[in-house]
Amino acid sequence: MNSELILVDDDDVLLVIFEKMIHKVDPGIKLIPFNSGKKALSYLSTIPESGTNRYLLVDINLKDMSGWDFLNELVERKDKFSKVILITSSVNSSNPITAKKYVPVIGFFEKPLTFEIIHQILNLIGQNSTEKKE
Amino acid sequence: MRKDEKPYHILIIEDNLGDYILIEEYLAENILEPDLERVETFHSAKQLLEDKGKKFDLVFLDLSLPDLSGEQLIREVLELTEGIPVVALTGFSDLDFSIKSLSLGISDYLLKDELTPVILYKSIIYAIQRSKFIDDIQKSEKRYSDLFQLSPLPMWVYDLKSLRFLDINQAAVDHYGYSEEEFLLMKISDIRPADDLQLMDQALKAYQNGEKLDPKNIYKHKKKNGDIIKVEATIRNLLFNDREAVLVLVNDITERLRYVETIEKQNQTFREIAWIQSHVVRAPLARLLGLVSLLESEISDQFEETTTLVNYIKDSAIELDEIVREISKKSENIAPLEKP
Repeated sequence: MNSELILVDDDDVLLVIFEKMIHKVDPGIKLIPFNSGKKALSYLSTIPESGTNRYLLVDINLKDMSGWDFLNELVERKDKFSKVILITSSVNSSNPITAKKYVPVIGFFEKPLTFEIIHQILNLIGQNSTEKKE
Repeated sequence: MRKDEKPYHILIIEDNLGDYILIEEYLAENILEPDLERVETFHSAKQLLEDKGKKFDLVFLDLSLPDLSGEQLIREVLELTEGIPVVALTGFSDLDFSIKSLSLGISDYLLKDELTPVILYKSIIYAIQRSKFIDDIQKSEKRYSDLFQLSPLPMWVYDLKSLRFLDINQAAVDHYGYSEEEFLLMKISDIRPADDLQLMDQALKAYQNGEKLDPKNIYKHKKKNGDIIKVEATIRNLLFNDREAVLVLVNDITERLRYVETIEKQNQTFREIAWIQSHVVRAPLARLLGLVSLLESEISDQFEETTTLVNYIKDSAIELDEIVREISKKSENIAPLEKP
């Protein structure tokens, strides 16, 4: 599967872990890590809209902005192509309920990411992708 | 005519034997068996009343005795009789003095020269009945006064026009620190903190415009020592000595509110701890579990011992994760308190 996944988490160690785990499952996927929400948002504004979906794995509790702020920004930009999978290390039971209110959100997972969850995430991307699996 | 069969116990304080016999005869005409006792001087009357004062239904008192007479006699006898009706017998028609004797507290006065059996009997019946009524009224008044005075909660009555305190109970004196005399010179605005006076004026104006007074509300009051307390006041309108007045009963809820506030603060801290549990503690834990998963996948099966050790780390981390989740779940039940 030749797709792209943008990783947004302020925990640098977790970014490395995610990359390694995801590549173990799918070595072909292109991973673009960011340790801040703002950096990820400015990256998104630099790439031209290609008409195909792009996928983001976003931690809810970022240091510079919350995952909700991140989503609000996407909604404000009328970004139709960014699809977000939220992850959180918190076990706050109201989070999944809030997540459902956001159109860009296609998935919600609690940390730690296990290989099982990574499979689920990659499946979600596959299902929502316009490209066919190779 | 049928005679009254009640066994009246009557004390006759009369030094003149002739007068006594006359009274005795007149009484016998209307009362079947009057139980009479006679003394001739104030001194012996005093002894008798001190011994068994309570047993008499009525006392006849001649206003000129050998050892005491006139106003002083009346005063001293009334002090001894304590509520037993006293009827004065006078040999001279001094109307002014007789009227004055009524104001001193005697029940009736009879002029010896004009005495008849009917007048005498009537006077006895009236005096005894009236004394019973007065006694009942006094008891009833005392009951109401006790309810007010002995209330463990501060109570007062204030004049709706002048806003002055008209009556105040002991609990209010104890609670607010002002003496009763001080209170009676004050207005209700004197126990309100300065920033509440406007509110008070508004409420009073609203009342004068026909709105009802809020029957139950929480107010701030100021004690003599300057302490501000929060009270729940129950308010009723009433007529007090023909003046439009308000009866107020207050319950100091300062402590209760403070207590609630403390609990609320503690709960806030609990929720903060819960958040730390839920998020901050879990962050490095998630990292640890991720690393373990990764490590697990890196080690080939031939390093059996290392795999076992990695599993131990994994189990410990999962156990810790479960504990954190448990704590987090429990803390979600701490809801904010409803403000009273």
